[in-house]
Amino acid sequence: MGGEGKLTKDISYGSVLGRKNDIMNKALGIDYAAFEISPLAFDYEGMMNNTAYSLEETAAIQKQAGVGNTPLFELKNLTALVRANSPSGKGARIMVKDEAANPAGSFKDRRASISVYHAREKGYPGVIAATSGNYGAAVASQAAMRGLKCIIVQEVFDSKHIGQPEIIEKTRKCEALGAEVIQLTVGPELFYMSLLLLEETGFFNASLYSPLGISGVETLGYELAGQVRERYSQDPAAVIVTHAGGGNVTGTARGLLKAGCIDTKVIGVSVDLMGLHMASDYDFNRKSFTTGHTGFGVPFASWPDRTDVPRSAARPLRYLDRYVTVTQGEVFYVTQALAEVEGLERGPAGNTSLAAALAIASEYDQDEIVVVQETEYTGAGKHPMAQLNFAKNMGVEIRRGDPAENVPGKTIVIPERFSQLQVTDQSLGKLRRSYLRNSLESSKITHVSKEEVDFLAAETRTSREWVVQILKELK
Amino acid sequence: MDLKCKPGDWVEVHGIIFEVQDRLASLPEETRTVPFEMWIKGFALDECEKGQLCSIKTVTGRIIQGELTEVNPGYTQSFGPAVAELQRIGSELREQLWGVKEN
Repeated sequence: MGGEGKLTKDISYGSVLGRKNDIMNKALGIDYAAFEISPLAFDYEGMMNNTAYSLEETAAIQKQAGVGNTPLFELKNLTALVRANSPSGKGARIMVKDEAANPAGSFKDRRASISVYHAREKGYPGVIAATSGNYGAAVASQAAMRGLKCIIVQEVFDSKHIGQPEIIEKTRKCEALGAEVIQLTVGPELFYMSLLLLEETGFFNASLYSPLGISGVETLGYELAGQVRERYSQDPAAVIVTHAGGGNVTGTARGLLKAGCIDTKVIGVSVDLMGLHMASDYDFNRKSFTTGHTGFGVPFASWPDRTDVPRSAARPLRYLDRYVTVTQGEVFYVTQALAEVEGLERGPAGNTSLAAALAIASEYDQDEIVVVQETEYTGAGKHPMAQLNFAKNMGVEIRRGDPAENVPGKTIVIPERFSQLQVTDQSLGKLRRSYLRNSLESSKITHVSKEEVDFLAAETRTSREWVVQILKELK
Repeated sequence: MDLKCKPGDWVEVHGIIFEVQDRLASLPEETRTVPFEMWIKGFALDECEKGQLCSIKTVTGRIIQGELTEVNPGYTQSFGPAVAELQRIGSELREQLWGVKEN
């Protein structure tokens, strides 16, 4: 199947991938080469400052599109439950930034608003995004507002044409917002399809990982800092961020820094799906989370430049103070809790960071503040009931018990008690080391210059000494 | 369900992008041994029966040809039956918060 006519170019896999750089340049219009320092290093801040909009411009573009300025709720009942299960004096106040209040129902509107605005300014006739997540709806919604055409490429079905209910809902939402949706079966060939479509249509690549997409999230960190300061006259002790491709962490952390929250800890959280293969036709429908999980979180932290752009603007290791995982069952439990004791019915994937916050808040004092920086919309398909019924049908065991007994793809354990909520710390040292190894392999260099050591130290948020030591060990 | 479409009907078509022999060698076996498939919706340009090749015009104006799979394709995602494992969480937490035993 393909477009009729105008297929004068070779559309074989190898040929299209071979034209990747050319297609990307035309579809994004960013001269990445201008920021390259060496095969290994590049000028990250230079790229962010010279290709994206300023924080003020970003906020103005978002305001025009009804994006941002979402409410910050204090979760008093969940805080009381944390305190009831914490040592005396412990249990920080928990806040949640209700990003579901954005036009398409998630923080992804912040990313999409800037890319779509830019596409329109530069005269592109439409936008394309490859995503099975909320980002598709965000791009579709922003494109509808600005009168651009929109194509969303999604990984939806296994080889039996069985689709994840959460992704089917996202297909529906994108189509409801006027987008053309390309539904695909499992496989990284999705990237090929997306390149082919960019080439055929001449549309803008609304990549999740361009400086435009990442700078769009900076307003989220900046806003929440302002809201917490205005109401409580203090900075958040910690901001808990769901981590997948790294954009949520990077953008939020950059916004917090721009607001001057230098002591606020940035804690990344992923749902533990370790052991499941992201390109497996079998595993695909045995996971109940399609994003915000370790299948993205780990590889994108240890090698950000695996995306659809030459240099990803999402570089989570530059910003993470801590990285933890939670289980699928814990996220479903807190989603139910948020609805029933706080009156906020929101989608499960967006509550990944909330699950972690309910465990982490007990480490902080009662006069401190911990912020969960997102929620997402919910509805048929994208809901604990839909997702757990689907998991049951796919042969996954669902039971109540100790969440430590969770086995990704086999068992989802819904906690029996609030006090069972916990996080598992993942080693940032290991991720940083793995980043250095990937960096050496990818650049194929044998001697690392002084300037490159500085770059690697900034990339991993470590010191020159640490980088030099690890490089020695890796040789 | 209609088995036929006429020009102008909203339909879904299906196609195979890569047959098994053209899939990436690096894929896990269960993925490598099945084709890479695609479904797209649009307005039919032809009169077709289910399973026949049908040209469509998508909402972005692209013209695509594929095997007709659905006429007036809808959505089937739902909530499903109550999930027993979720049903008592609210009562348990309210009891812990306010000490009222509900059931």
